Amino acid sequence: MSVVELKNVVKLFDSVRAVDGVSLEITTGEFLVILGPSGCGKTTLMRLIAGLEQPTSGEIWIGDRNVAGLPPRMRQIAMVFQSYALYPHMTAYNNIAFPLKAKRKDLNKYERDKKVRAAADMVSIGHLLDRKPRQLSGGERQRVAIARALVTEPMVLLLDEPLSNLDAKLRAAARDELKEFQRRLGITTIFVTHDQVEAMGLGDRIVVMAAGRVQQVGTPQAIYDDPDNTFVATFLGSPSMNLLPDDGYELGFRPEQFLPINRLENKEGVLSLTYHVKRIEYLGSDRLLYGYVDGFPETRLTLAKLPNSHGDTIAVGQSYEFAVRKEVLKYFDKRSGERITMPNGV
Amino acid sequence: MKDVHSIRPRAALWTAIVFFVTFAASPFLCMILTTFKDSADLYRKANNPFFYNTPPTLEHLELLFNNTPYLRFISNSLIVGVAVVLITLLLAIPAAYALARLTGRWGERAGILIFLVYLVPPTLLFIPLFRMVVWLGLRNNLLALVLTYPTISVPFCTWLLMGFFKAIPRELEEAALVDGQHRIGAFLRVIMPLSLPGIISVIVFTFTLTLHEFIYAMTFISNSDQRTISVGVPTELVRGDVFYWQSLLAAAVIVAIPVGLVYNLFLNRLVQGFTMGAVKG
Amino acid sequence: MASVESQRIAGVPGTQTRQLASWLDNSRIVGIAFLLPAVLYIVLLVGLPFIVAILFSVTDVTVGDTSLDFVGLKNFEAILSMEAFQYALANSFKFTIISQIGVIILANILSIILTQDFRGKWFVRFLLILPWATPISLGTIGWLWFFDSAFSPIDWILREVFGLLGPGTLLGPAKNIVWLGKPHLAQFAVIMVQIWRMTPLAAVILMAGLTSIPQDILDQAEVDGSRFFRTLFRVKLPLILPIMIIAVLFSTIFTFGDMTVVFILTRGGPVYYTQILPTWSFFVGIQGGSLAQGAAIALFLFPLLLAVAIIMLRMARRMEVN
Repeated sequence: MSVVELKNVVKLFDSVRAVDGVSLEITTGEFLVILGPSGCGKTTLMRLIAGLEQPTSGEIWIGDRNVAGLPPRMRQIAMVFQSYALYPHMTAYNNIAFPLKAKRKDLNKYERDKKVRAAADMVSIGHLLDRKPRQLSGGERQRVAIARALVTEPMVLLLDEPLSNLDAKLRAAARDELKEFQRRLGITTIFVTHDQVEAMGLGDRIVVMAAGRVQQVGTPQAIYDDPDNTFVATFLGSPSMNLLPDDGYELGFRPEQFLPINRLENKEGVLSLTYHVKRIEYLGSDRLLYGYVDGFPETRLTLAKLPNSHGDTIAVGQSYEFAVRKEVLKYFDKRSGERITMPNGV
Repeated sequence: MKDVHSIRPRAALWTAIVFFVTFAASPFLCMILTTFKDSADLYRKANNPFFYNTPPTLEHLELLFNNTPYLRFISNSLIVGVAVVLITLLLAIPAAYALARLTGRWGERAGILIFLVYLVPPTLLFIPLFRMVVWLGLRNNLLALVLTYPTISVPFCTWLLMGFFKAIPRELEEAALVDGQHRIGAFLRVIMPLSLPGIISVIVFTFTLTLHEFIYAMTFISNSDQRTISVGVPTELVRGDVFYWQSLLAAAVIVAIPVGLVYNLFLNRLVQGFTMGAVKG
Repeated sequence: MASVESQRIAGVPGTQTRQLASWLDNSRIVGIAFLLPAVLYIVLLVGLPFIVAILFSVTDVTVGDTSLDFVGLKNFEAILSMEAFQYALANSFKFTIISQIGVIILANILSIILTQDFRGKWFVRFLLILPWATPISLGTIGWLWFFDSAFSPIDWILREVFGLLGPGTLLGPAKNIVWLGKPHLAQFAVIMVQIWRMTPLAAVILMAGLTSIPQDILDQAEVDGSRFFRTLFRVKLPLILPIMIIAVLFSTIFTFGDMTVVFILTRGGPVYYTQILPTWSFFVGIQGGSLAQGAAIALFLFPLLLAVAIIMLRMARRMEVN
């Protein structure tokens, strides 16, 4: 059952198509990630769902209501902003109680207090309730923002890059906690980010966006292993997928799929290429090779990612026989970037 | 121990300071001194005006407070000041918020237009306003001033507050909207508490403005009882051609010092208003 | 654990409340409602009088005769032929321009002083802004005493301390410089008071500009070997040029449109040698009762103000581009 539905939503700012015909269905309890580079329209999309912007055309349904014209406060949503947007003049307690006071006028002071403390305990900040935002660390502020969002038990939780302001070390732990909450509470969550690692780690499904349009929707695995076009193919994966032009197509394979030929068990059904290594980066667990393939200009870089546990000896300036399994090769139309299925089933 | 190189610049600095302070403050120093001078002393050309050649006296102050409408002037100015501050707050705060947040590009234009209104001086409008005041029957009524002074304070204060409101992150209002507030609720519960410094600046600026204003007060009010300080002091303390100098100067300096102190306290904020947009942070 | 049903927020309004709620949520409607009172007020009490001023200037309305009889440009012709007008117009510009030059020079020096660190700065600053903070009429009264024709302290110092005044001296033989009684001295006095009261404002604005110069730029100048005066003229002053222009613009408007200083100091005298447009407008219109002519005189203020407005708009636009 879908809790949020977008039907061909378009948003124009002057003549800029920030959101260019997006249709989505989000199921109850799902953790949906909207992923894309800056300017792709993901934040605008979230603001449209929240009601902070109105669509130029198209419909947005939350619950079983068309929310056109409804202000944010009536959409049964909660939002965590990138900057957390905590009210500086209020204590953490009052920040959390603020939406509760406005949206649950049926509660008396004690019931409200219970809910505030319950929300605070859920994110382990019960001991910080008397502090003002400026007296809290970044991580603590983030938790207050989350508690404030959860306290009203919204139908949909919107998160706008809530982890990007955290220190790298905190980010992984925060990611884990977030996913845990969501699983426990079962709240439908929409999470916007430009960080593909975050997206892959958190999303039940990922919506990849670029230039205001949905490029692909799918599970992390589907998006990674089965990209629909060159944008999705190169956006996900670090480093990006290699793309080599070949006779009207673009041939795609990921660096970790490009290995010395003697590493591949089955020597049949492989595409072998002579690989000239220009530079090697030692990344600890892997080696990243920068080089070019025979038949292509030296400036056209092809990357290979070798796990160091394999122990191959690779030297700069040397050429080696590398190969890719034909079944993982992806073919893309050169002009449109769309994925093509080759006649022989590849 | 300061080395030789820093002594000369310091000396130059202090010389400049003394020069400017003398230029700026000597009238006031003189005013304070003269207040207590005995008339027999003061009105002898040969006597040093900066010394008390005969002992200082309080009689001129007594004259000022007991025999002139001075206290009346002060209370009139206070009444007008408070009323004008209230009206200005009521008009300028919502207007500034609307221009800062609720209107798009035409809001920017309207903002500049409002500021341009500030450039239209009272000396241009005082004659038609005089006619309007008479027509409304408000001649010699403090209400005439209460009604017209906001024309001077509202444009500038709106501009000043616009800057303050713009400095508040948009996300705070948006969070309030998501958290259950409508536009006015977000404004009252989140924006207003955070704008206190700006509002205080508005209050200070507007109040002192009502003390400064001269031409409207001069034109609309000729009745001694209804006069404000600005007009009352130079006109009422001169009987015929006779200046009661000691009382006159006392009257001026008694108001000048507190206003100066208040200005000094709020100087940074007031300057912000003048340079908003020019000093991009 | 909340299920979808229990997530229905209590108090979701029905149709009736929803209508009211929509109005308060609409940013455009709230924006207009917030803006309207101020705009209405300005239109009624600035816009309307402005139009009435123009109207008056082409009629024969006086304090006694309130009927609006159209007389075309007769008022303007009459004014332009008066000698007092020549003086009023010339003086308005003369006083403003000369005092602004004085303000620029002094304010620049003063702003540099105010950005230095020294003991007692707060008190010194207090003394320095007194001229601007004091109500104009009250400050001018102090100068009225300084320029008094009999008991001027300035005269006393020149006479008794320096021996420059009095019989047989350089500035003698009279015992007093009758400052406000002699045309050029009276003009000097008015200009002096305007400089005195405007310099603090300009200085403080410039100071704000100086303190907003990023420290990186100043450090760079120091690394490049530039010392105090070189940094001052080559780096600091050019950077605060936009703010300087704003300070001068404000100062010009306040000086040009002011009538208080002249009114209190000289009443436009001696004769009309210190008359300016605003004071003359007052004497003709209010004291003389000829509202139409007074309005016409005051309208001559408008071209300069318009010029100032245009300059400021251009500057605002250029800075937006930056």
